[in-house]
Amino acid sequence: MSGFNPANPVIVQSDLSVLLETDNALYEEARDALARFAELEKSPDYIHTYRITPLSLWNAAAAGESADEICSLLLRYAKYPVPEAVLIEVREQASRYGRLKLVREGEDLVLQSTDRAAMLQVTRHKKVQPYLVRQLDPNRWVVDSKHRGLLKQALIKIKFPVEDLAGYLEGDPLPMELREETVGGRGFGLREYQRDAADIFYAAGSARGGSGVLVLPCGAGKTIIGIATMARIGQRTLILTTNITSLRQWRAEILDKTTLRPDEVGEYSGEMKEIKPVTISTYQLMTFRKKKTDEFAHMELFNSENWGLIVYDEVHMLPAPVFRTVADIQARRRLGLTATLVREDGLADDVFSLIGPKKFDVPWRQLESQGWIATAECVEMRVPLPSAMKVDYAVADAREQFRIASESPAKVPVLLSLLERHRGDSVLIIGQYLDQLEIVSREVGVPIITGKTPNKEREELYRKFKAKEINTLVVSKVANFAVDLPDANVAVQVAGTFGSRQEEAQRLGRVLRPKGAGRANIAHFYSIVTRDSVEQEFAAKRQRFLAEQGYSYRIEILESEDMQEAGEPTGR
Amino acid sequence: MKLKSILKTLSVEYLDGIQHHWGISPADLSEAPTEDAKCALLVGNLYQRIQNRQLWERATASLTDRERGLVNFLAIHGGDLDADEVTHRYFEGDVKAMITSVKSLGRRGIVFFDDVPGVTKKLLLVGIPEPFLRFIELPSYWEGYLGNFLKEFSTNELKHIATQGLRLEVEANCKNYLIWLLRRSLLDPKFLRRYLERLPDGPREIFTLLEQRKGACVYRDLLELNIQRQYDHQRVDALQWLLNTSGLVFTAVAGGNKYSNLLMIPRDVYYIIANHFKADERTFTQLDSVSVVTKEERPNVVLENSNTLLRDLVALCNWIDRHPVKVLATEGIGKNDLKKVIPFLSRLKSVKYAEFLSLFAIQRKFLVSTGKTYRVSQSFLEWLNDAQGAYRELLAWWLTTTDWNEEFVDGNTIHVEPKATGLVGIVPLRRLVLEVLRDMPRDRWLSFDAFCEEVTPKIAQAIPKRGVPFVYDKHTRSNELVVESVVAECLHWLGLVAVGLQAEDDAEIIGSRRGDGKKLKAAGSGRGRPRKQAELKFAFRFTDLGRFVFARPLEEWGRLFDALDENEPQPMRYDAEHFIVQQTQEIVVPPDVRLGVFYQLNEICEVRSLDVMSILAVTRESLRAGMDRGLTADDILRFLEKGARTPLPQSISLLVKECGNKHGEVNMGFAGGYLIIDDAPLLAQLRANKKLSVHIKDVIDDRIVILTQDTDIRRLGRELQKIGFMPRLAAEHVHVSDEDTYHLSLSREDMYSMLAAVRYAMTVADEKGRAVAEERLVPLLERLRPNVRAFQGLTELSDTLLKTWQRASQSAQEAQMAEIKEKFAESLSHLVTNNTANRAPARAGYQGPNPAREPDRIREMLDYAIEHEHEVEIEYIKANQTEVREVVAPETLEQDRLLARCRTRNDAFSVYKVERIVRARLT
Repeated sequence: MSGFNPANPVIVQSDLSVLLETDNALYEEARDALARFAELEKSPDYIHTYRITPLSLWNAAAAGESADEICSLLLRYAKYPVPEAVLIEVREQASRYGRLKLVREGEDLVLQSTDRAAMLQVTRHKKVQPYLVRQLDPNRWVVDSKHRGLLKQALIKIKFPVEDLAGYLEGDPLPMELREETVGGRGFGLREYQRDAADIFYAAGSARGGSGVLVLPCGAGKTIIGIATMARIGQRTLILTTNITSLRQWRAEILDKTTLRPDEVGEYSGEMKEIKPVTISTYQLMTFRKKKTDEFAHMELFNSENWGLIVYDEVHMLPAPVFRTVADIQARRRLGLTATLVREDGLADDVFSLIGPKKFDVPWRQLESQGWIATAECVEMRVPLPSAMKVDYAVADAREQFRIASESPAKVPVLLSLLERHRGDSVLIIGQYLDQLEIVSREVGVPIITGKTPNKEREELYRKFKAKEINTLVVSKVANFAVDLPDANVAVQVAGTFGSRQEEAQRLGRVLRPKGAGRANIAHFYSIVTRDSVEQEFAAKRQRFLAEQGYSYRIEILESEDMQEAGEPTGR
Repeated sequence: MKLKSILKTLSVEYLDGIQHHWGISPADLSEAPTEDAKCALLVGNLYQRIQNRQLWERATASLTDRERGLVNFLAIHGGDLDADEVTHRYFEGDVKAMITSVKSLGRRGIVFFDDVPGVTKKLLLVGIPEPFLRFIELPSYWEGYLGNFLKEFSTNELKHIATQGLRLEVEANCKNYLIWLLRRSLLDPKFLRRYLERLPDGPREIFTLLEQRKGACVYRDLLELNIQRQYDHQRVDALQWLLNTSGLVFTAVAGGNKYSNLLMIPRDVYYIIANHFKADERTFTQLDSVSVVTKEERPNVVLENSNTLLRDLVALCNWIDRHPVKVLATEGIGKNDLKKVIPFLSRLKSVKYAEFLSLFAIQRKFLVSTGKTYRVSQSFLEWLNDAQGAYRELLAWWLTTTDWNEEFVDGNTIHVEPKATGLVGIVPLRRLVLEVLRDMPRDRWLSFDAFCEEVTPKIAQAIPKRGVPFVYDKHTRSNELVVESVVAECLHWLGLVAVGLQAEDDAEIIGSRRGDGKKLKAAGSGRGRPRKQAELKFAFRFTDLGRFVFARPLEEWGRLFDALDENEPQPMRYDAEHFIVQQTQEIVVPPDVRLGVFYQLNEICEVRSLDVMSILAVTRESLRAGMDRGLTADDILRFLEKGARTPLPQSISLLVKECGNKHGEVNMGFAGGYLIIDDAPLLAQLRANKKLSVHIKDVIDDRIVILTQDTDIRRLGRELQKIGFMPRLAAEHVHVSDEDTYHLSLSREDMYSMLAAVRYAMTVADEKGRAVAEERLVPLLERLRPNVRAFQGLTELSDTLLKTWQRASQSAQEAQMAEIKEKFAESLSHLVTNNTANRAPARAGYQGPNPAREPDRIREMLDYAIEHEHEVEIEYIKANQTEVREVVAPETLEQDRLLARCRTRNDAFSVYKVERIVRARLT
């Protein structure tokens, strides 16, 4: 086969997916190369799958990669001949970013390009025409500066992402410094990748920086990078996050690690409406309205102050109505933080055009190998269904079967034996059904947090958990998002959902935080499932996701004898 | 440009340089007293020797691309061109560059300046000496320019054209001057326009016809012979005038006789006419009409199949083996079934592609019909072991088959109804396309339209019937579309060319258009406005495999890959053994994995994507399908462990084991009978008997013996009796169980007779096109199927029987028809001999008034006519009050209605109201 280079690790498929062999001497080199222009889709043990998309190519182009460079990287590492169609597509898409630029000329916002054909194609498009004001010459058009965001959205929809160099409005200054020792008395300093991320985003204050998304896995310290960026810019900042718990954690972190005083950091939530030089709010509140026909009253927050920076935490969850507002405030610096650019609602294009291109990306496995996040050990424990329940299970409908299997009492002894195995560790018990969780909580004798648990009580439990006053906690799915439980190193899932991939990632993320000094940097993720049941099938789907994410897992099959040893009531 | 005369103009230094560059042993100049003598010696030494092809090739091997381009540019135009034209069209107006380049080539004895003596205006030509032109082989798309045609004429002939045709004043009697003069005149748009306007009527009419055929046409087609094939001398004379005197039409390719010659308007002249008399100033690159040069034409989507063809074939056969597909009466596979397999083949493949591969597999007996569905034969797996041989065979099949015919829009001509008509031998057409293709550049994208322009006149010349008539029915397609199917479908599928499209959707248009590809007559009665068909522009290029194959003459394609050196490229080599099994239950298979291994993987996996790497997934369903084929969990695990490059993930081995356990929870199978023996020692005796033990399939509970499927119960009974048993047979042949179910015991012969009977009934039902058997036959046939291996033998036997019966039925039917015909002829002759016309006039025996006008009289007359089988002429008032006169043969009167056959309207059976008959007359 001509063009066959067996020593190379990359295989480029004609559907624009790229396979990377991990057991190859050039793996790391090729991985770093691919990360520049392709999204990692799956990373199981032997072959990782990347995907080249228009967005990934534009992100690469925004980071300074040229189409020729990308093609030559593909050709350099390819094991088999690269399909010609892929090279054509890469050249076409990568050359599109930057062909159009938005710049400021005096008071005017100008769309310009050196490619006259592209300019003609774009300005004749009916989606773009509403934002054009007047033509300066064949290569330059004055555009409506009020609709900077909408224009960018329209351009990306017709596959012409524009490079926004029009600069930003300066916000009111807010001098702040990062502490070298936290208020809590621990030493504090940015990790190298955190410093790099903040520097790349800030770009020494130039128009090339100041907007974009930083992609880091859970536990990599996204909050810290956000705070570091605030310190670099030194202006009033609005932070939007997913929920109230996360809001409070941001506030606590800012006060702990910067020189800002408590009266300078405000909470804008359902409970209090403070507007301070640094204000933290939630998406939920932003999109709150009493009736469907009402305006989103709290969106005013965006314009209530002269913000110099707006931080969007978990940007992959940014709700659609907020996008509309974001489109109107394109002159503000904006930072998106996320663990994944994949949006289940397909609005990834909007993140690119309205928040900005990806500025920094560190894969999970890289951080894991450097010890910044824990190595995960995933185990699926298959437990037989008690004989007495087999008939009930056999005659139930599918949904009920799932519930019977999930709530099987045979799981409790296994859970107990796991708690025994991890005595002294911080253990989170996660489940789907409240009844089951309450039983578990009673049987094991540990507190429980559910959606009904009042915030105050929740925070008190979290505090105790952090302070090691309690080391086991039962949580329902409230724990899935943005809850920072730094010292949990064991998670036991007693019942999973119907296979939501995002949820699984979040759950695993709970235990992937770096562990304290002197402790093995290993996290354990147990999933107890009922053998030969629908639950096992759903679990298999979730496991496949974990495998795709690169976590190895093993399966332990427990027979009835093991169960009896573990003290199962046999029912005889 | 004459070689000798040009050499004579050169200095000693020049000639010595040429001698050195061409590697010719130097002439001995020591004896030569003067410069002139030295020159003469050098010219003598050079003249003969440099007319050698090998030396020419050596001398030109070191030319740069630009220099080689200049040589080609001159050759395209016949060898000599005006220096100004060369500067303008080849050197973009840079005189200096032109002079430097020509001088440099002159020093190497390849291209020279030449001036023409004896003409008023000084004329400087740049040219290649005539003998060298023989060595320059131009591809077909560079042939056919005016200069190139003219150089083949003698000086006198050229002078004739100039003076008699173009009416020019000739200043010198020199060939390169005459060519220059004719080119200058004919390629001047103003002159050309005037010249064409002044052409005599006859030649102008033919020239216009040729122009309409895009400038190329076969001689006989220009004569427009009518149906009687009358020879029109005037037209022939006019055409001959065009060829000999006009300088506008030339013979491009000679045929077997004058009438088969392919005639052509020179490309540059045609360019001027087709572009509204715009001068032809095309540069050298622009003259390459076939290569895709502009960015706008370059493809965005590339279809390439050389790496996936054989894997597709494996996936297709395996899929068909695993899924019940309907066997058509003509032994094909239905399109609806083939549609389902498309997701499991490589990207952007059509149903036609699946049909192409399945036709090959069926004809090659890799897919064997079991009556209802298809199974993969053992020979397929053996065939896969030699991938290169397999590819060679597939290619050879396509080259020679007529069952697949690109003339026909569906490709497969076998099982399509109604049968395609008007097809012409596709095999020579394919060959012709391949021959033109061999001439094409192999390193770049080629425009299909331009390629088609090269190929279609040659089709018209070589296969005159192809593409005629010019009114298309639903099957016939223009030459362009047939060539499109050959190139963009078959050659692409066979991996020889890659197809480049502007958008993915264009892939669906390839090979789907009918007629002339532009407008399509509405279906059905043909009424309604013709529908516009989708437009398609595409390019293609040779693949690595294509370059490898086309590097060999067509005659050697049957020996492709033979005696390949290890260092040579080895296309179609599938020798990798290993694949990667991922924890995600996906198996990533390299493109060069042995096809046998790939087939085995297909047996236990689902294809997720077939691309550079194939990605397959192990699922419960795919494992079950594999286990249904007789694989055990252990077999599967062994196979995966052996083939996996890395340790087998725990999740996969657990899944296989789990499926293995579940697969055996309920067991089914086929058996040939049972024995119940309550006495253990008797059972032991039976098992010990060699003759009997071969029939034992299984023993259950130490008392029930399950017999193998091929056991003949009666014979076994006799064997048992021989050794002293007294078996009791539950039933002779038919056993009725309690549930009113009948168990049959059939011999092999009975079985295949029965199969044949059921299938015969099915063919009858098919022929009649109605569910005559209330859809009972298909399930019945399904139930009659024993295991696959046994069934294959039976199918063949039942096939033979079925065919015998069909023949018998056919001949019985024919005999019956003959009998009916005979009877019919008899009664016809009876009718004729007793016809009323032969009788005495009817009215002779009729007593009543003739004609009759009153209702009663009319009724009487009709009664009489019916009784005596006479015809009556009636005048009848129709319901719309119009009056008609008709001759009818009355058959019966029913109350107030007359039923009769109307002679006036082709014996149509008609009903008349008696009261509306106003007049009747016995004829």
